[in-house]
Amino acid sequence: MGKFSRASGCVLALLLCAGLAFAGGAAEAKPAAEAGGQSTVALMWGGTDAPFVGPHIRSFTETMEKAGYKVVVPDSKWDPAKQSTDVDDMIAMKVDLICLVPVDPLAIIPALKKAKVSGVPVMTINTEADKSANEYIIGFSGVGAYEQGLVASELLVDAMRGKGNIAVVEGVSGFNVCVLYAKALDDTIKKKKAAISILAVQPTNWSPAEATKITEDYITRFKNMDAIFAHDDYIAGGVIVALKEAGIKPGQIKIVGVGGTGDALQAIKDGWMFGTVQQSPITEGAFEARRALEFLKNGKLEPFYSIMDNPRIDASNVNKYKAEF
Amino acid sequence: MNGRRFRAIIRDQKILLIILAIALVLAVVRPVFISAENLFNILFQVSITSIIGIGMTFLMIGADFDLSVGSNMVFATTVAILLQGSGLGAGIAAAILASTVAGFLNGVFVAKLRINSFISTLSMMIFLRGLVLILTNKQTISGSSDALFSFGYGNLFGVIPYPVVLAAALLVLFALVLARTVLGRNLYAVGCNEKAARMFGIDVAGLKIFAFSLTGFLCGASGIVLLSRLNSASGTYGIDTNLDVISGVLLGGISLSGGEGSIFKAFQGILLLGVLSNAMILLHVTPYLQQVIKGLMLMTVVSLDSYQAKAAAFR
Repeated sequence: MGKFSRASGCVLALLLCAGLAFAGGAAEAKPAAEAGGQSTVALMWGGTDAPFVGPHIRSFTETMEKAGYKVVVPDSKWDPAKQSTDVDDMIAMKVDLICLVPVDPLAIIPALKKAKVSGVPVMTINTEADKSANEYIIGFSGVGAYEQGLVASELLVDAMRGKGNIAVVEGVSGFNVCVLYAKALDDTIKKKKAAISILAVQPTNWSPAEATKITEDYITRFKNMDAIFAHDDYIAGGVIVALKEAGIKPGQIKIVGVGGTGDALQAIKDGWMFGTVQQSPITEGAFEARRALEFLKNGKLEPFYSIMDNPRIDASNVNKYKAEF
Repeated sequence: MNGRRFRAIIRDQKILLIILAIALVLAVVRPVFISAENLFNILFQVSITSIIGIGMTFLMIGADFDLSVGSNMVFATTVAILLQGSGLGAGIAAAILASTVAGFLNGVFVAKLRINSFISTLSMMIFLRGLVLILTNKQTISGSSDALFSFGYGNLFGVIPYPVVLAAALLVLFALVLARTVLGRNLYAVGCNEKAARMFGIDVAGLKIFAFSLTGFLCGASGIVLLSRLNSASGTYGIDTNLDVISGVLLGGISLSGGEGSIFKAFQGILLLGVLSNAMILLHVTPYLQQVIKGLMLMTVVSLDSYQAKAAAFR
């Protein structure tokens, strides 16, 4: 082997030796607060590039910083494997609390178990992990994705008066929230015995531009499309762009989203959207940060579940809501 | 040390020097960086990309590359879970075989059908991702093997994670194959000048098919490592793995035009990305700025390599 390989081997050996030398606690990190530094909380979103996530991070961070905590935000790029190793990083940093949005409800379980064994508390937020993970976490705060899906589905059924055809523009295929929205839609159609068919489901990766393209295809392909379920209001914005370009009039195809963005509230007033489910990232970020502070102050979290309301917004009550994001 | 030697060290070992500089700074400002837990975390985090990076290095030395590695890895994870009812060994063997076949097909498309590796592996990436979504019914499916779980979360001598041991063994083995065998030398020859290599009687198509099949095999092995950590599979796994691996290998100085580089240089690049990610998290750098820094790092190092190569050509 040449000099490059020898040098690389040296670095690998150096890292291994350093690890071995410090194993057993010789250089064990103390929690930031104990070490005289600032206490740290990790906010672990699945990814940081979705439009909802930025305002949530700002709101969560502002609330925590006002209380004297530093917030660290790893980016798992919507990859469950990376999120799992990011948890390892947070354990090594000995953060005071991990607030985690699971990318995948099952894949995160081993990492949650490891965090518990290592003494680093985890609160899941926004989206639940699988129920079998409950023994490894201190609690859940946020929205119930399934319940939110039920509200959106009821809006759809009402918009279509119980019959017709829906096309779905979803977030990410296989992503937990999207799976729960799909289940809620199926369950609502069955429960209400509605004569509603789902024409197609296409992923947008939470991109409004992708939603526009998909909707253009839907318009060409389905002449019998009565409604579109957009998995968030940003995607719904992309859907509206395509409908406008195709010369479709407001209300001709009913659109239901999730979020309650300023644009969505305006679209409801203008008749482009039938309704949405309110989920403000700013309100939610602050809500979850307050729960985190409650745990950090009291050392326990009660109740285990704290679910935010997800009010339905439609033309009848849209004026009551103020645009927050 | 004279100036020329100093410049040569800077030129040849810049990635190592960057890693050491980051490590030194972090050891001072964030002592947690040098804790055993954190150092082995870094090595664990790069173990999957390092294993796939071995195959990518073989491909890139032969002037090819593979965009389907992330999809192929999660394909193996999915096959292993779906076949776990037939026994753990059978599930693992079938998963690695399936990934190797996908790699072999990539090789056939590139070497025999003469389809550009970008197009053929992009197609394979999309195909395998779709296949995984169909096989998993767009849900997360979970495994049930405690033995695998013990591998993913177990440590040799209580300290070194088993996936790191596996990655280190594979790195050494394939570094020797590349540096000390006729196969390795022939691959460099193909990457330097494919036509000339063919004229010298080298089986170019066979070598390319081997390199793609090896990459598929290593994706299969990585898929099993992934399964041992997550105990589940879904179509959302490993979306950016191809970019992580290619970025790391490029950082290590392996040129896309082929004919140069080594396994350990590629490992240096992958390790640098891992160290950089860890450092930025410890330094509370925002995720948006992290991406900017990683992009700048890649651009700077690759530009430097290109400049040095041109300067050497004019000397």
